[in-house]
Amino acid sequence: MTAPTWILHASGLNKQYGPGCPRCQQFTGPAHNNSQCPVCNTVYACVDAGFTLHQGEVLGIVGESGSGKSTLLQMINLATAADSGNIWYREPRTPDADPVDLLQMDAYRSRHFRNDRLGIVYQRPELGLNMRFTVGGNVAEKLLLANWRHVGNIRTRIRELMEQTELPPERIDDDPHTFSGGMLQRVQIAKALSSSPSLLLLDEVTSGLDLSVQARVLDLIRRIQWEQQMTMLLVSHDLGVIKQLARRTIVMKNGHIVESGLTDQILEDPQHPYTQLLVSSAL
Amino acid sequence: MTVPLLHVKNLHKSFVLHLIDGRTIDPIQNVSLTVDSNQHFLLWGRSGIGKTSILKCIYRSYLASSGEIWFNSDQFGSVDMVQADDSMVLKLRHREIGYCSQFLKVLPRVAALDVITEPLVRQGMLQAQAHDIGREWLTQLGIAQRLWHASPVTFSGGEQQRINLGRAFIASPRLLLLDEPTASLDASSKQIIVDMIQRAQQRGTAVLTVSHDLDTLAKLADGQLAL
Amino acid sequence: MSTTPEQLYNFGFIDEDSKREVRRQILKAIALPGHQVPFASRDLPIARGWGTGGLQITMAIIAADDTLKVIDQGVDECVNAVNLRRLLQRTTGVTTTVDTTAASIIQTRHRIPEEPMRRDQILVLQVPMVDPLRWVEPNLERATIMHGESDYGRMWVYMYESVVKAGDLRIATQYPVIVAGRYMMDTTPIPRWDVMRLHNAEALFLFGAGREKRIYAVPPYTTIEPLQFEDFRFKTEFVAGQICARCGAQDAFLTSHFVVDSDHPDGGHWRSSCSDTSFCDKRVLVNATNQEAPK
Repeated sequence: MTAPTWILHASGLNKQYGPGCPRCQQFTGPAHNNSQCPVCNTVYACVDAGFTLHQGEVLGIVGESGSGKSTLLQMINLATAADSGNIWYREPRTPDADPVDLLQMDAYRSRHFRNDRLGIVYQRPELGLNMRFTVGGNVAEKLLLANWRHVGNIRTRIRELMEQTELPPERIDDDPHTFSGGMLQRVQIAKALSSSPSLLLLDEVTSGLDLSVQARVLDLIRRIQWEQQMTMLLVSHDLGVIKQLARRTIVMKNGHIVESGLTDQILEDPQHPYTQLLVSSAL
Repeated sequence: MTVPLLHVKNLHKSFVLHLIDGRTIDPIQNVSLTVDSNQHFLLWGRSGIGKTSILKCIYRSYLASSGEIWFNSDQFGSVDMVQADDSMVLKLRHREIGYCSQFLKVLPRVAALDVITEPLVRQGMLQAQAHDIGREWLTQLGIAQRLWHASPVTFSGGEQQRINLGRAFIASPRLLLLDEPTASLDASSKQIIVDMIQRAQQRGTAVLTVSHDLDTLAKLADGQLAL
Repeated sequence: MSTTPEQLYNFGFIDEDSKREVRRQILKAIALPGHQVPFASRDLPIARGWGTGGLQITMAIIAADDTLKVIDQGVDECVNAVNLRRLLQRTTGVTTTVDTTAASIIQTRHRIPEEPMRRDQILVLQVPMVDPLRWVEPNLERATIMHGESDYGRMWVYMYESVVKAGDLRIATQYPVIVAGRYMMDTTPIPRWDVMRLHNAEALFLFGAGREKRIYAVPPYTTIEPLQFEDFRFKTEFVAGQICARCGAQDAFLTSHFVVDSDHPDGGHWRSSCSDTSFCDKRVLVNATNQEAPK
């Protein structure tokens, strides 16, 4: 029997905002088209979510605004604390080591893990970047946190990353405000890749960009996935983006995973009423 | 008795249309068929009878409602494509089962040479080596050299279809599912397809074709089923 | 000199309960070197921002047999130092001094005295801005979390940006350091000259910020590492050839002032002298004795 190829196995992830009451179940969930209990006002952002992510795989998470997909991503990013559940992680560089539960780590190790093993790209660049620092400074942050202490070496690495993400390296010391939306996404990607993470989290990275810019950013992500066999978790409300990048997809609604499967199966033979609506609404 | 490469048993597929008052349609009812290694199996019948749906159930683009689809994998032994988990299906698609849809769907920014060699590169072949093979294939498929670095989106229907099929054949899967391979092709293009199917069989690929073009394909078929 | 304390006030002005609160937080700060400990900062007869944090620490730790020295910018005679000293002296009756070696408690702003401090001495620093992360994270709550998780990446970016924009580490005072390999600490407004004098020092350093209600400490023999790069090292203000115009010291922190020439009102020159005046006075005296000796 060969070693399992998964690197991340999440199960039973819950996140609620509010105390909860005995009648919550009666009123919330996709069947009631509601995430908030009308009795106690508790919001169920994510309920009993789980998935397995294999090395080198792209998993799509699709759903409308407020469906809980970003909450799920932020729980994996260890930025939002899950109320319960497990996130088992198997380090791809040491495949024989036992998996660890990321949710059991203390704050210090969790911070270190986030910096070193995860990369994240947000829809809004100002969430992922510090607009007061230069482009190079932003890309350098993860390196500095990982104890890179030689400015010359750091700048060589930044330029490498900028070339990799098709940014002009001579603009290393420029102000991010002078960059276009598509370029800022590339800066975010360069920053995310700087620590050679084992998992890249993408949160609506192309939403809000012009179509032509969107296509080029997606091309870049596809190339990185291809060349580095990067494992990715891709959140999008756009089925077109999911279709281009993800082989497997999770569909979320009102905090619940209503369907998961191969992306082509989700698109061609959707089972859940909501997925059918989603597919039929695609342009 | 040897185990067949593909054995479909009592396959049912129904669609529940939640958006149209939840009605159910049943395009496939109780279909069984067997495909052996190296065989060319032809599935024919009139439009709308569910031929393509059977292919998609085998490829798992559709989830079968009931029945069994046993695929005899080289790596994993007998696998029921109805029950197999997603990652197993992905592994089989990666190495053993190919699917060629009726129309070529590619990104408009990728060159023909990259489109046709994509399955090889995905299997881990170096790009230079894959491109060498790709050039041979494009020549055989009769695609003019000046088009190799253009996107197939700009090609004629016949050229697109030849690229589409070339891409499916190039990786030599053990089972290839072809959906209407000769539709919209002229006689000479059809002959290229016929040659490809024959060569694939020689290399050990079993082909399951869905078509209503009996004139071209029936004479090639080792087995057939009319719906 | 020593006088009887004013009977109208408590010993050390603030009440015993308040002193106990301050002492408890001092102990906590010593136990967690470099960590900012909140404390209940009292109202005092001087304005917040004029050294109330340091003053409360001194008031909480001072005893009748202590000898006190108060300096501001290294000077014993500047307005703030004089007034703080007078308040402390009137309410405690302790002996005061300008001699660093004679003092048991030294309250200061901006400087660590030039003469090495001993293990029986405590230096109390008045802190204007507590958190080095304030430069990169104005939100207190988030900065506290960053300290908790050792999330100092952004501060390092700040240092990197300083190199990129200015060509070198350009931070005049409040140089950020890592204390005992854990917490990042602001070295208050002491010059870079004094930063490494905190490193593995014999004396106890207590930092108090009255306005921001925080106490932190560098206990004796604690490591201090300034933030620096392998190719851009931390530097002090030392300039080769610098010399004090009064005492001739070359290895002291100097301040400079422009002296107008009395003959030519348009002319003049810059003159450097020791910022630690009591130390400078001592050297002047020693020089004078040495010159007189041959006679």
